[in-house]
Amino acid sequence: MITHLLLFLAMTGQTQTGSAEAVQHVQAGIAAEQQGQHGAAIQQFQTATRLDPEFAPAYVDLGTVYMEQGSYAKAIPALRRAIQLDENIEGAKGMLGVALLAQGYSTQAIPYLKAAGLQGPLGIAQLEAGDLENSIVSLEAALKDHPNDPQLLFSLSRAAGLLSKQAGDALLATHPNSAPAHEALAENYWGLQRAANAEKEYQTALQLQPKLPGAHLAMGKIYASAQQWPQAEQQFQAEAALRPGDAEAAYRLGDALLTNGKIRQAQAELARADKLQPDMPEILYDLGKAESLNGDTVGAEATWKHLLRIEANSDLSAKAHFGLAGIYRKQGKLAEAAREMKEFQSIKGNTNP
Amino acid sequence: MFRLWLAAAVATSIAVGIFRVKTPAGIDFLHQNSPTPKKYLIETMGGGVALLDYNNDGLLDVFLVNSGQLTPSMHAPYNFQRSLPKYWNRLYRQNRDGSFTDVTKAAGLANAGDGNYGMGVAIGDYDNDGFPDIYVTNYGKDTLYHNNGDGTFTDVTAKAGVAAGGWSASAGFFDYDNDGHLDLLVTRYMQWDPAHNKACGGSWVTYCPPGAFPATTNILYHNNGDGTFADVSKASGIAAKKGRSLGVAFADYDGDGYPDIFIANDGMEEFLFHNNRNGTFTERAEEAGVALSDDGNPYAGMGVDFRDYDNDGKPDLIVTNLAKQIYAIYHNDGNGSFSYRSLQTGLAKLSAASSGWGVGFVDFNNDGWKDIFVAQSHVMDNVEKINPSMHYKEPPMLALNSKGVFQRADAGTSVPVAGRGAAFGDLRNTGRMDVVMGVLGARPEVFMNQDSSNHWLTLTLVGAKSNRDGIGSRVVVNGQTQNVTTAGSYLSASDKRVHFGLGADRTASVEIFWPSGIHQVLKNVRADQFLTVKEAQ
Repeated sequence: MITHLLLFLAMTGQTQTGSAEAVQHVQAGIAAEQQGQHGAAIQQFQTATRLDPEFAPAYVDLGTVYMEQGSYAKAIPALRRAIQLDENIEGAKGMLGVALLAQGYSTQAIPYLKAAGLQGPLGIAQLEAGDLENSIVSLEAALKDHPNDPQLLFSLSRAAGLLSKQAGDALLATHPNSAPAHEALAENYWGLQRAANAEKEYQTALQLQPKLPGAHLAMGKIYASAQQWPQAEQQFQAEAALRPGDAEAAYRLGDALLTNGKIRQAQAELARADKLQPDMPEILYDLGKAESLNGDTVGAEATWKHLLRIEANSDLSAKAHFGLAGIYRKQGKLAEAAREMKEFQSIKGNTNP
Repeated sequence: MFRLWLAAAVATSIAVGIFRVKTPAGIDFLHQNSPTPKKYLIETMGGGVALLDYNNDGLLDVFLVNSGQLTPSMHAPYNFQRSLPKYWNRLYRQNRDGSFTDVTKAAGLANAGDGNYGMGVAIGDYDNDGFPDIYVTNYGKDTLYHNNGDGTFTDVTAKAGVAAGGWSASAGFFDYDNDGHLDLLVTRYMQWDPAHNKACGGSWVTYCPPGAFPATTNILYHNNGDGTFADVSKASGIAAKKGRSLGVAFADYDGDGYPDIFIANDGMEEFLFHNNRNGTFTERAEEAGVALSDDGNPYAGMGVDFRDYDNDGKPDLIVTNLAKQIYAIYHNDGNGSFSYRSLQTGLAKLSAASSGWGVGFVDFNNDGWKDIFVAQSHVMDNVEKINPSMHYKEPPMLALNSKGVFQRADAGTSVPVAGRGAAFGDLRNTGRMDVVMGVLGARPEVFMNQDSSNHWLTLTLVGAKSNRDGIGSRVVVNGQTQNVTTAGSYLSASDKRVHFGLGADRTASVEIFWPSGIHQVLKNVRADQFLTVKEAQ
């Protein structure tokens, strides 16, 4: 790091002129740091700053070694001094921002991190400072360069969650008896698996705003998860009536109709869902099942084969192979049935004990 | 006119359910499963029931299987304290007035053996002496009690050679080779013992799923006709498949004249053993389409019944399982294959949130269509803590059959219990089918049928060339088909008599296809009677 910094400064002609003696100590410090002798390096850099208190690179180097040691509290004054001496000295602002962030001074860290263009730490500092909107922007920018960084992903998730909560709190504070407020409460309850409370809040929301988009769908999902399929069907039916262009509502309604034994209606609804959102494996699987149960084996075969072209190796594709095997077996096409069962088993794994 | 309207309105408003749940006087059984913090898997699985007329007085008696004592620290050799009266199995003899008398001790059934934790029961007249014998399954060793014909039984397990061993669950008598002697199929759940029990769960300790323990083989005993049996599990092909088996039912699904075997497995594919008519079986569940659900998923198969629910003459299957899995109905399509029909029959929406054990396709309202009764409860006694939308205790399910589609009906109780076994029979000889349900760790429930809307016919078969009770016969009455069996359900054995609801029909035509191959026809049989039919010579 130090070597890189000096090289960079030399190449860009920004090398600060220090006294010859101070420069010698800096060079000795760099050599010690490269050998892992942090204590000796610190001594050399401190001597350089004593000999030439205006020699900014020596402060940067000193701060760098402290950073490497994790001694952020000691790094901060050295880096501050370097910036004081040279506003544009390379690397100091970024390191100072990181050091301040590490010490919990997130608000103070933000301008330095911003200046250094360090989007990841900046997003984290903004998150800690409560600037959630900008935090999300910074973290998303950082994730473009480091898409799978766990710290960035965690921070983004936290920032989004807090922003959501903040908006929800504001909603509840300003419009506590509004339909969206009850909907927000319902979502919170459902997140806590308190289905009865969630159901009650959704009902209140719908009393206040009978055409509230998504509320019937959400209630239907609650009933479906409790295996209360007749009630789920009613809710999905209501959502599909309110929003006929919503593919999820159509799919969920088709699924509920299927479970409730209304196979013809299920097939029609699932076909509609498929038109609204083509190539969705979940819709295709259920549609194939409805077609098969209605005796439309040609349709079921085509639908499940279409699914398998989209998704080859998943639980849904295993189910599609199993369904195809059943169709072929009934048709006496035993070789085809055996082939489909083989595919099914290779995806699912052998279920024998 | 106004009075008539009023009367009709009142009649509608006070419509009563089919069952009245009432424990008859004298039945004081309390099932002892001894749940422990160790969550031994056996403690949640017991509760078998049998209905049999052990003394041939024309009244059904009740046999209830107890389990035994468990302690948090169990060491081999295991002692379940079955010699203590509170852990005895119990035989209740029905009196003329409908009350029952505990005759356990007098009948010689008192001590089930300290090493045996009780599970289920099978009933069959294995020696064709005209008196039903009792086979009790256990964790430990099973017991065959020979009915001496004088109100007493003798433990003949050792002589008969049917002790099995390990963890037996449901069992059933049937005559797989049509030689006139009842053979015995014993399901076994898994390889398990208290010292190697595992408990599962995170915050809440609970019973482990079956996959946590090794599978095991089922046992087929061939009746030698001299009071002994031979273990033919390997030779017959039954032992070729290892399962985690809980339920068993028999029917000739392909009409070749030989009974086949369906075995309900927990957490893995089900078994359908096709009878090859030469003493061997071939497992064909996959090709018949009954191994898995319609989505290709294994489920927790527990209870099973194998009867014709849609009156097309071919035996269909119902298999109970856990909540979110949906009880499976497989329709027999008649070409050796079945179709999953849980959705079309309405059973999916009725059972999606429930867990079932004992089950029967039985015509409770005598309308000529077999209804469904299921003893219900989840396997985990703390399931609500793990998933608040599920319930450990549930009331039983009664679903009435309307031309092949099932609709929920009042089962006579909404009180949730841990239902397990269920046996079906006409307790009071009213022409209506009753139910006795075993309840885990509690008293059994008796569902007395009070429906009186239709006609009926109940047949008692007496075999000559075929086995004495005509087990395995196919009986066709006014277009309905029944296969004669005491097996099916879960851990339980039902009335051997064959019951038909006749709807508005006052007469019936009866066809009997005996296991011997003899075909017997009775025309213009009067409805509303108990009829004994002897096998033609």
